[in-house]
Amino acid sequence: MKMQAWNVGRTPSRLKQPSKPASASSSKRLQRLPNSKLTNPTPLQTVRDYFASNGQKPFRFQMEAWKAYAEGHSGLVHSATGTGKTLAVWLGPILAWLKRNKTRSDWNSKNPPALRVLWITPLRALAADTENALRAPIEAMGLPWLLESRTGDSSASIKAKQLKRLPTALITTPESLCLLLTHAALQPQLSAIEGVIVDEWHELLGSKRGIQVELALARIRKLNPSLRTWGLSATLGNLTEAGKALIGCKSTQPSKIIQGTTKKRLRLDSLIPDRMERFPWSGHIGSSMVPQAAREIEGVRSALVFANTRSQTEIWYQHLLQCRPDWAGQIAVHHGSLDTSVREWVENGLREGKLRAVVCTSSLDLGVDFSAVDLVLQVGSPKGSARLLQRAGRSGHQPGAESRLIFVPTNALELIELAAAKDAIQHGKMEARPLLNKPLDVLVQHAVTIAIGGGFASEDLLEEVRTTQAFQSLTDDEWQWVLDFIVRGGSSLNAYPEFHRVQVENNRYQVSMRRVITLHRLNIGTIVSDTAMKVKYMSGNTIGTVEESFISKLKQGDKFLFAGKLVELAIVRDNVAYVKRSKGTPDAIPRWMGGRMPLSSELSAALREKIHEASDGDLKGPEMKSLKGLFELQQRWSILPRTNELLIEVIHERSGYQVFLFPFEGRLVHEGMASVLAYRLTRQQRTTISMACNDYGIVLQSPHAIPIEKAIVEGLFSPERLEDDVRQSMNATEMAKRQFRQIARVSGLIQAGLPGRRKSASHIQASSNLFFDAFSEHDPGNLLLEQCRREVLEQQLEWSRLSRALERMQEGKIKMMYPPKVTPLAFSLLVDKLRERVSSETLVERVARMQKALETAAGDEVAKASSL
Amino acid sequence: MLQLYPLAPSAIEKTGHSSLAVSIEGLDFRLLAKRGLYWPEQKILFIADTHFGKEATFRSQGIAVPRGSTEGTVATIAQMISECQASRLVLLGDMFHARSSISEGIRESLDAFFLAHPQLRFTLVLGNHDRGIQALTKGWPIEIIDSGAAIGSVSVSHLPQEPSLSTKLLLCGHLHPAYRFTSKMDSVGKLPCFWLSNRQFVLPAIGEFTGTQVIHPSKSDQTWVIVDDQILRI
Repeated sequence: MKMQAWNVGRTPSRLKQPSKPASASSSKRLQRLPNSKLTNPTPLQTVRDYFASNGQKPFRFQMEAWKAYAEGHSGLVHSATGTGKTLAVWLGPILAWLKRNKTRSDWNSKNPPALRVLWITPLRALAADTENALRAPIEAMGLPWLLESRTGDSSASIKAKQLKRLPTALITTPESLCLLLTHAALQPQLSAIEGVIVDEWHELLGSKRGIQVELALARIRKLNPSLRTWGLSATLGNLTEAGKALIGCKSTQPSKIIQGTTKKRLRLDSLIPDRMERFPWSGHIGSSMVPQAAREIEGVRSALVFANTRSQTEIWYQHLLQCRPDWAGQIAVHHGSLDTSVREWVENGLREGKLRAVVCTSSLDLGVDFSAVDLVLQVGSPKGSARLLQRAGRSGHQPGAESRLIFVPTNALELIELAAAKDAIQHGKMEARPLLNKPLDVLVQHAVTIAIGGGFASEDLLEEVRTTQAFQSLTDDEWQWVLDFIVRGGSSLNAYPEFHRVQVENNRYQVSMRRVITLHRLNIGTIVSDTAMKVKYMSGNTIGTVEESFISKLKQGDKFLFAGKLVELAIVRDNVAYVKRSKGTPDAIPRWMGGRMPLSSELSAALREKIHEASDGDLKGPEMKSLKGLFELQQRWSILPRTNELLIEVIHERSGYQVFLFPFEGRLVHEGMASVLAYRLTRQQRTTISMACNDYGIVLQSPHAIPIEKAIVEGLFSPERLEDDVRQSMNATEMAKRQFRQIARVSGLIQAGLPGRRKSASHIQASSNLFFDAFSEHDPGNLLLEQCRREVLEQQLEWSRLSRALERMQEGKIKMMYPPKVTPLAFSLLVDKLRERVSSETLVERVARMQKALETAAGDEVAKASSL
Repeated sequence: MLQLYPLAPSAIEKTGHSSLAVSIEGLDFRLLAKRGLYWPEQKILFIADTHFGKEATFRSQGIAVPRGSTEGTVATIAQMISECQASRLVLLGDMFHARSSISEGIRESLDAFFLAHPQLRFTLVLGNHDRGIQALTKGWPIEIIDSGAAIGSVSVSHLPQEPSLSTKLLLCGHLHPAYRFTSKMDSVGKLPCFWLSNRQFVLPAIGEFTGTQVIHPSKSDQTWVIVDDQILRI
């Protein structure tokens, strides 16, 4: 686009904010306006002066964004972290205000302008840092703006003051924004908002919190149709969709997608094990890479070490400390289960450059830039190229510095993943963030929010929510069900007597009952609090949370690693695990639920390409070259599949038959696929099949021969009846119950927050399982159950990916191999045994079997003890 | 690794029973998978924690729960009475969930129950949710007794407590006990259970819309879990 109006000389270097030379040729205007205070400089000049005062000049993309804002556009700015995205969107509104308020003498900071900008941040922990970043230009330019935050952390007095008059610019979270919408009295102020900026939109996109934001934006847009909506995002595979979700799909307003400097200098390396031949093919190694990693950390000022799970952070922290005892106090651990105070301490240490290394999980993916960090280590597969890129971007925030990431493989095959990720990054193949389609639980919550915040007429709100990307295809029937659900409890006429949440009077939906309002406000949001148990020192200091099931397995005095320290369990009281510091070796390492991500579909595709290349003997880059020996072995015993081939290895041993399939589609897809295949095979003949999967493939095992060749001919991979077979083969009810927890929480059935905190509400606490059962039994038409079924298919089973994968397999060439031994690819499946699901057993049989297994194990122990 | 069995149900051996005869402290009982305890000698059916009308309380607070749970619970009780031919029903506390639980619909279900069982002797042991119950149950033939009272050679109570010296066993409720089954490879979540510990016999909650609490039995305890419609001794 042409930038004449802005009189930009030349595109600045894409790599760093260019320093303004002292004898600036571009400072003619400065000379013309020597004392801006007296002569009221143009708005743009004020901004340029601000950049100049930091020794910088605006980037072209920043000016592009300001111009678009000035013209009334909405848009999305995407760019690598630390490249000036914030100023690209923040100065648009400031320029707009300056244009209308040129006379400085009229500026009065005692009487700041009314609310005009809303800044939405996904993490409330980020609000304080964001506030600092946004305040800097305000103060430097002497603007009379009042800038404040409003989050769950804000004090009650500030919140009360804000309810009377909101500041000029407000930093808030999706949840706090929705809370504002419940206050009808704020409507005049909210309708005066000129611009909304959503930070880290890629984090919110595709989640229920993102949908909350979409709905809230639709509401503000209704109050002010000329609202400008801007988003900041990391680079995604589906930016156009992301932009549409932000701006709304019925918007007549022009919108822009502006690319910032994405090509920050980047260096990606791998630690190639010193002795490749001793390096495990698969599985998770303990400490063999630690000394090499420590050497890298030694060479830099400050490093972030990303591990994929919280348990891994604890383990790696200990390994590093054992390797370098002198680093005690200089390294730390950071993950989502640590108490806020612990995390803040670590973050401050990083900010001040006091810590040499922090071992962390995705908990440090987001947020403030730690300028001291000049190296990132990634332990184990990053599972996606966008994530790898984002993590790399956490380093090198000094002007002109490059981002540096070193990959620490935990097994040999992971080196292929890194090589694949490098390719994907080079070709700009970033993961798309799949969007959610009309989650009714979020709509239920939103409808109650609006009913509280002044009420609505059915047609008006329907029209409004249909402007969002998520609900554009909402049917009249679905909308009617939502209204029925909040007014009468459900659509079946007799099922919900005495139910009161929202009342209808003259086609106006509103809430009058105080306790409904209070309960709703307390429970706005979509985040499910897990059933975590607090971990505290005897002195009372909280260090974090662990899952109750972990603590319940410990005995008093058992030692475990937590927050990088060895502690022992002292006592469990009132849902708190009290611990004290301990010495010796740990008995256990906490495991937290969730965490294990499947390989992304983009990275899976890139991985297939790399293996294809290897099958041609084309080994590019140090990672692939280092695997030469492994590839040769694989080819000697079997083959390396090309992208149009599906490799199947059959091994017959005394103990039984093993069939390995390698679709390379990621763990979740493989889990679903394994169940379906095993189910279909057991339908063909009476047999017992057990299965395991990882990101690369599936293994099916049986004491009998598995007639895989015949089964394939007869349609083993057929997409026909797939959904039925998935349902039959997986324990669909259990999965649904797990999924229903969030739905119950979002739609207001279960109360969020800590149990026991609101004693008065304890008689209306019930678990989501009870709701699930009650609906299934007494109101099976409840659409939340239908939503739950959809979410299980899409989110837990990656349904679309699974059916695409089967199509690919059916069209591809099948390479049936009968290797003499377990091949390197197959070995990964024998080691990497992952969670599996039962298919056709009833609950009773499962319990009986587990009981038997436990007894056998106990019997073995007894036998061992008696033989001593 | 978990097993995938062939789908012919006949090939699967039944492992549990819908009721189980047990002998405790020399007394013979039948544990029912419908969550009741039957004492043939006295023709008494014991149940605990019906929490009638819990869903109505939720509804009155603006939380959508369909009706039907209370009717379901009442129907289960009626089935057990008819199957065992019990002449007396002893409810070990927490008959109603809250004061707001006695809605019109709930009243109708219970009216129908009492109408259908004119000969049944209905005894309620007072529980912590039962404060002020007398006013609420007027019109129904309910005999109300305090915790600790003796019935034959057992004593009954809502809360678990030390059984009196003159009785062999204490039957109680309140805990809504459940047992969590997990192994390295599998987890089936919480299963409601009967729990015998130190001559205190805790019954599972019978109310459909009631939660459970995980218990951790000691080695000398006895526990029976309810899995779907069957009982398994652990």
